[in-house]
Amino acid sequence: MKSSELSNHQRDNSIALELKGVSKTFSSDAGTKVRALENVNLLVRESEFITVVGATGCGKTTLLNLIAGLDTPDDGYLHLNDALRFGYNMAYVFQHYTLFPWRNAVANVSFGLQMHGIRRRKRKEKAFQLLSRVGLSDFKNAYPHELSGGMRQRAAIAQALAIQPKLLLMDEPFGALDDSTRTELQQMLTELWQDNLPTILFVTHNIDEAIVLGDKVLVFSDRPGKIIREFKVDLPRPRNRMTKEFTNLFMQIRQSLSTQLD
Amino acid sequence: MLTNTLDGVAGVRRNYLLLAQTLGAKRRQIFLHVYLPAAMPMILTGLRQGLGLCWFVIIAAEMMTGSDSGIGYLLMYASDNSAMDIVIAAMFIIGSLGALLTFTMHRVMLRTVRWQGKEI
Repeated sequence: MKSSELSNHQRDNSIALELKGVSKTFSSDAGTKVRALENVNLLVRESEFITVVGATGCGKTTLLNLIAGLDTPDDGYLHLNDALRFGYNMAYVFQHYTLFPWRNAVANVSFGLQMHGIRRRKRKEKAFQLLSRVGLSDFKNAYPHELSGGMRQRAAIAQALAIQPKLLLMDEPFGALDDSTRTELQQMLTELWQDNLPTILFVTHNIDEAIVLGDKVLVFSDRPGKIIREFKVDLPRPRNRMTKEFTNLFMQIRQSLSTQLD
Repeated sequence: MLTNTLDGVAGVRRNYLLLAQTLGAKRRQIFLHVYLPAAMPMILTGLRQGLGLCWFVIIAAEMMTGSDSGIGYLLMYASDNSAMDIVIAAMFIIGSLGALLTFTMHRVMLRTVRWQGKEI
């Protein structure tokens, strides 16, 4: 296969996951019911970078948990590509508790490989490679508490990438970072995505972040969570926030989020 | 069920279990690589306290009538024979060995669980 064919092949149109009319209700011990998701329809193609934006606590995390199989929907149809297997080629990056505090950076990054029985030398080699890819080669032996917030998220991304995920679920991974660190990491994530083209589902409450990263931005309503709008982002990467198209899109998304508040 | 019980016992954050699961850890691996290291501070604290108590109990046992060897016995024997120099030497040895034991355990804890209380 020629290289041009290969790159076309890499971004083919097969479906990574599909949700039809998915709903989920949580009931508390007191008996009150919270409708976290209502009638969510979603079709994600392979290698697509989808961002989901909405107020905190609107069911976005529930959506990721359902896809990861950590929870089951009450209603509706959820289908993942047969090639996707939880724990093998699906990775999940959280906002907090992203690294094991008792393992240093190398050991954290190699955790997944260790679980899959990869030999010590090989997984160390891979971990070094990934750590330098995310700019942490000088912090190989540092423990999580010795790293800054941004470094921890870098390490967490390396940890997730170590198992070579085809689907990457990210739950506000940059939510606790300051603006400039956040921008750096967005840039890095974009590059990493362009390298291997995994399918990414990225949840955030930051509109700007959603536009900078995604091919498509899904706007989520507040309780019950459902997709109210879908915006295609047809801007070249790396994306410039200062363009008119960008700000236009920003305002449209802002608008659709605020109308549902009324 | 078992994991949930252990969860409460070891105080392992659910997030670490999730993280391990998403990276492909099986039950046995979760026990070995999540519960065990997470419980390590508690295990070592228990061990340290246990060792201190052990030392105390050994010496006390050696002081009992019927014992015919050991530092505790030496101390009692010297005391019965008014050999104050030996009594003081034995006290010194008992004290310093106990201190050494505690100190070593402390070092071990610092090395192995230096992340303790700094979970993030």
